[in-house]
Amino acid sequence: MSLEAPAETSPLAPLATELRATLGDAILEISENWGHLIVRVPPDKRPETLAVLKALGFDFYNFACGVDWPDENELEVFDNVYATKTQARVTVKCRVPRDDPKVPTATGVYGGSDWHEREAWELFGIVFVGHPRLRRLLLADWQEGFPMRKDEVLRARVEKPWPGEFFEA
Amino acid sequence: MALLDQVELPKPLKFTLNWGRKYSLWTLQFGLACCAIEMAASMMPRHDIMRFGVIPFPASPRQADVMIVAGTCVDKMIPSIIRVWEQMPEPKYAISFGSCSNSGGPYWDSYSVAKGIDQYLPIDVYVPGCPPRPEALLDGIMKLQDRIQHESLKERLSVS
Repeated sequence: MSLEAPAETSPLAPLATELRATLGDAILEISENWGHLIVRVPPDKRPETLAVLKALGFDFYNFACGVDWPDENELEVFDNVYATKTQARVTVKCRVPRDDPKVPTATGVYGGSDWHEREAWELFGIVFVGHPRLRRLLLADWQEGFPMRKDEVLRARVEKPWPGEFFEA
Repeated sequence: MALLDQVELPKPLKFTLNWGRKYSLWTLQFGLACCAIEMAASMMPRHDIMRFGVIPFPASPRQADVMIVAGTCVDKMIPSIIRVWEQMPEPKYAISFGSCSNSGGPYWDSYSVAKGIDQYLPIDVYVPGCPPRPEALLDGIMKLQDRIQHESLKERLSVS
């Protein structure tokens, strides 16, 4: 994954400069991809970064989600925010260790992140510290494990393999 | 019902009773996903399921004879389906409509979709398709009527 920092001519360049000036060392990496600004921060700076973005006019919280990176033994948390006036999008990413996935919640900054964090919690097992009601949102109460993690075993596949394999043989 | 499960009816009476039952199927619809749209289409004037004596929209499951499970049954929904099924009076029939409720369909790899509603309910007719055409449901209804016409109420009621 080699994304480049926004070029000087890019319309996102002033925003990147402003974020660097405000957050300073908290920013690990800033890159641009398809008109999105991607900001990588340490997990404990997540609410702070989002608060700065909200003050900069990013008034719509699009979504949060997770990505599992089993090779690096890490889980990634995404936050996508949108500015309805300038129509700019920013993605905030932070990575946490897989064994102890703890991220501070963003519900204090954007109220809309409540359900997204609950979903990421039940599908990936990412614990959002300080979330007011971290409980099941979509899955059944008796569901075990975190189904979106790559190493999660799919029971149906164990009992009956995918029939496509028969045709290949 | 006190006698029906002990005595085999004489042939003319059995024919008449079953004939009456098969043209008065009150259908409880359990539309769960996109198949519900096709099921609704079969009840609209173009396909007009009522000409087969199927009456959609009963006021309660206690008045229904047939349950059409149409669509993707997720694990979380199964308790509700079973609960509604158990509220229906005997003799009752179930139609599984669409690939998802037949076998899990395209969601075979899903972590949350039940792999076939027949693990939980005794299904009489399976309608394949993703989603099936309304004509397929009409065909399924006719298959079910065929089954009702030829079945013995004594056997049906004494088993269940």
